[in-house]
Amino acid sequence: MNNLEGKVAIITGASSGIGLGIAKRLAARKCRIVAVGRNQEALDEVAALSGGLAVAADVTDPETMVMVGQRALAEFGKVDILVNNAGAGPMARLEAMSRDDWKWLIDLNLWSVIHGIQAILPILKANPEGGHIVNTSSIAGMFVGPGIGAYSTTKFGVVAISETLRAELEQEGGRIGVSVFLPGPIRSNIHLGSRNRPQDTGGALKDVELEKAEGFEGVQIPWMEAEDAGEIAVEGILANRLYIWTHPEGTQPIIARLRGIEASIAESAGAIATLPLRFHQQQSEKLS
Amino acid sequence: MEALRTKESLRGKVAVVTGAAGGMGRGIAEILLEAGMQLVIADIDGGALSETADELGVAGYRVDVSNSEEVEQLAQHVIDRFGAVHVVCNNAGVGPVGNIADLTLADWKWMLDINLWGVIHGVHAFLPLLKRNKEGGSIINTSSMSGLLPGPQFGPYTVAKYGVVALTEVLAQELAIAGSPVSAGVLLPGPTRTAIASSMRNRSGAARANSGLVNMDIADSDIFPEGIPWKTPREIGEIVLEGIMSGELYLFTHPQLSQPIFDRFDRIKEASDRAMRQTSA
Repeated sequence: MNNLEGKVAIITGASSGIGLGIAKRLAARKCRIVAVGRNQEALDEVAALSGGLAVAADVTDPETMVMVGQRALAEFGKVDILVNNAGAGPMARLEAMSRDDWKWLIDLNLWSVIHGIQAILPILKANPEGGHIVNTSSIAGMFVGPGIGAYSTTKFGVVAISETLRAELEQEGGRIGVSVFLPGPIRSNIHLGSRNRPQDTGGALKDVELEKAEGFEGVQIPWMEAEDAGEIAVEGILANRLYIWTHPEGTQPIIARLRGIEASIAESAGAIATLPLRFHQQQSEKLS
Repeated sequence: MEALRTKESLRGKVAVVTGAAGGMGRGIAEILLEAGMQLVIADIDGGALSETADELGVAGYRVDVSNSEEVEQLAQHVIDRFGAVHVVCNNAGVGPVGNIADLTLADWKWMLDINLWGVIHGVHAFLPLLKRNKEGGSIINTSSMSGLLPGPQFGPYTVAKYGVVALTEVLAQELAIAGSPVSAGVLLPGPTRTAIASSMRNRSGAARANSGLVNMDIADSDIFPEGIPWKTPREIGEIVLEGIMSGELYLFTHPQLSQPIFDRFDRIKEASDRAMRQTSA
């Protein structure tokens, strides 16, 4: 995709934060934005920017993205870009989490992406010009830390679905590109992510402000403005990149994790080499 | 406190293995049993479960791991019967394949309920019990090489298995920070002779009819053009036993097949490097 003028882009979580940032940068390139989110007023503003459409709805409802697709088709006759961006990032130690905590976050961060793909992929496939899907994961989709167990579980899943979908669509000729967006710290409302949680079910997940999070005491956080992150996402769409990073200077923990896994594989190769001997011994003991 | 680091220390201790009526779970159960542990096996297939339980001479419970209450009940049964539990292998899983474009939401739900929620349920039901032991314990979650490596048609499988890797890594970190004698490991098996190629047997006929998922037998695929380096379930069991004693986080069974994982890691690093050059340019 190299010219965005007149393209139709569905963006979830477009009321604020990264979704709004992507919407503004796509609108600046004359995309029409179908803005999906929870805050009607904010969505109306985004839609107005681009001659687009505002849909206030809950992406954890499987019907929502089907309806969004129908409304986009009715209004514009096509969809070119899908940005599955809605999500939240509250923290809790795994042990303290309730089943409702898990369900809420998996529904919001993972099922929303599945619903988006399920509903909109057929519409993109019907577009003779092809299309592009961006799924917002996080740098926490590639490494972990204490307190972000549920978040990482969902965001690792978003990486997996993006990598797999891209491979499958490449087998079909690659007319539809797939990217996974891996933002670091972005100025957004993610620290208010639980505001739309249906009711307080007494769970352990709590919104956090990164500055006040455990382990971040005194750390200078390299904040990026949401619109700058949006620009990076748009550049990633244009270049059809699988992995889109906002903070490449902050990927050391990821590289360290990957190196750790590589080292573990090498070590286990050595350890496993000694195991078959035992199997044979056991076999011959049984036979004798 | 040195927890469960030797075969002597495992003798007489209590282990629970889910998905253990056959396949990898049974292999793990056999090896832990031969190491002198007391075993409880669980499976959704009641018939195969009672056969295996009889053959091994162990207790078997019919459990659907996608149902949190059934997993909680399993934990209660184990405590009622043995008073403690030391090793939990959250192993039950299914592995049919299908292109994402062909899947139904019910397909996704079925796969995530078993392969991801099954592990979440197991962790929450058993972690508090493991923490009661002064000698600690061990949680081994079965992921897959697909937990580190995507492939076409493996969408819901990799989503769940990546998730199991993330969950286990965080759990291991949080336990370590707390100074807990409980350890967590993630099993990352490659091709093993199991019944995974008939995963759909445990799904209802109506659900199968509309599904975009099909059973896949690695033996009929071209994933390994130079032949499949099969491992037996018992060999996987040996690796799990070693992992319980070592407390290692990652339990690889087929390190020789890891090149595609290294290639993926290289692509991730290259993408980060390229973004870095753009930022500084």
